[in-house]
Amino acid sequence: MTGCGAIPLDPAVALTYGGAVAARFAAPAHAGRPDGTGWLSGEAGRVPAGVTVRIWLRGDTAGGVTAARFEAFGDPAVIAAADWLCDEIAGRPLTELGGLTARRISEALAIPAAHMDGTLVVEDALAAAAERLAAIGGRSGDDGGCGK
Amino acid sequence: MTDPGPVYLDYAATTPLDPAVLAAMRPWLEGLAGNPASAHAVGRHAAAAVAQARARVAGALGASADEIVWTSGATEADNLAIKGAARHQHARGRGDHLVTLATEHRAVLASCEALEREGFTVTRVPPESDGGVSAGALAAALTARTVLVSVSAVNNETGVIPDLAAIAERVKGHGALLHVDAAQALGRVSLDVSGLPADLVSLSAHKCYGPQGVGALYVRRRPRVRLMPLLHGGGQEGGLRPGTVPVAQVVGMGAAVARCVRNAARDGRHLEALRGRLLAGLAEIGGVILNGRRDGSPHIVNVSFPGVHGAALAGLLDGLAVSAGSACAAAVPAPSHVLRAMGRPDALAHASLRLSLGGPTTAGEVDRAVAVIGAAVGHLRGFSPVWQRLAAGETIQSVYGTRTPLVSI
Repeated sequence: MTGCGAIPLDPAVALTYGGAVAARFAAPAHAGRPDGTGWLSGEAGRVPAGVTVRIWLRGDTAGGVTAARFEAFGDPAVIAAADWLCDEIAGRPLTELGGLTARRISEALAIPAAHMDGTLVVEDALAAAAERLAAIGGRSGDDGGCGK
Repeated sequence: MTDPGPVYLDYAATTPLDPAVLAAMRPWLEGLAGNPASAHAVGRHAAAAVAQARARVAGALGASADEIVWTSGATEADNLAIKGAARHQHARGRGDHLVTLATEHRAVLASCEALEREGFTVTRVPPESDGGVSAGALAAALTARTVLVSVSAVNNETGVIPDLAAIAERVKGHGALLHVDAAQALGRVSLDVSGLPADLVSLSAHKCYGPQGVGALYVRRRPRVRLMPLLHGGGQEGGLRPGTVPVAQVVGMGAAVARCVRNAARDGRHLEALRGRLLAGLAEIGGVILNGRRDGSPHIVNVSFPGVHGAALAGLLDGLAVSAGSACAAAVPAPSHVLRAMGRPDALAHASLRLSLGGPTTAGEVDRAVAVIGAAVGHLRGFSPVWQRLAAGETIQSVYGTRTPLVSI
């Protein structure tokens, strides 16, 4: 369950989306379907609209989230946003995830206004995953990981 | 190890100036070029060079020198051909309808749109899913009021080559004029107006190793095709394109066209071999959709990558100069109108690349391009929920919400 390795970026990515997005897009540490069991996921977005995101969460018995992963079909801002979100999620109580909004993501990564739309899909995917985790008490989900 | 530099695979956008072309242009850039319209010796010297260049361009088409009009490029040639011919025909009461393809270059489509604002009607014939258009489909669009049909010899995005002979037969049988945008054809696809009854043919120098900023329009004289000029001024170019003829530019175009004709067979074999290598390399990536036909021009390959977002793909092509369906720098990039017309859903049109080959392209460059593209696509598919669905067996049509038949390479 390692992150994706860095691939050389076209310098236009940093010029278009900003340095913070470019850095995460180049090497998203939390990208990819998780290994093992105990994960639940939530998905948002539509292919024809150009963005789909799935957020994977693993909870603990105390109502916290121990780890997060993502899969994404989107532009560099979407991939960077999902990766940043996974960093922020880990270690938080489930009840705090609602504070991780699209606006907060966009501000944290300084995403230009023209490219913010996809962060709403990232927020929706997190909400869908969190709702499922909350529904089962935060700890025994299993959508499967890579082996599914 | 030194950086080999970017791999340039965008020869359909522009080509490098051939050293021999630059050598031909140099005396006209460094010295006193003279105005070819001047009657004195310096002017006559320039006029002779212009005449030689005109003869070279005409010769490449099987035309006469007096059928060549210099322009600033293919875009101006398209504008002059379409607006000039349509307005002349309309002024003589011959009709007000034009036919073109939905996949034509913007210079053609925008010229038609301008005429629509003047009261003309335009039929844009949609292509098949592979970009091809049958002569029958085009002929079905002809009406009693059709004055002009405009078709490219080679589509600039997909490389698709229409059956111009069959199209010309139907168009001429109907009594309409035929304009052919041949900007991508010179040196790649043969075009001879002594056998093909095209009335107007647009050419560009910088697509065939000549200088930017110059092109030409072939205007048939027998039977004579008449145009209304777009510009007004001196009487240069038979009054069709006033303005001092840029000697160095047209000398460069003449040299470039002559080079293309001279090297056509050798370049054609080179491009065919590279195109085969490129298609084979891309096929190794897997799940790659061909936007075009295998019998298209040897210098263009257009493909889409399902499961990959276009902007993300474009962002990972460092070191490659290719034409991406989703330009990274565009705030809201519009998908290609050509791929849309071919039924590609926007998300697949965005995730497309046009790779165009040229004389200087090497097999090593093709291999490097395939490696960069393969690494980018593999990386992005590694965490793509869309690719997960496709890998699990869902069809592309189902995932992307389209009924268009799509062909993998």
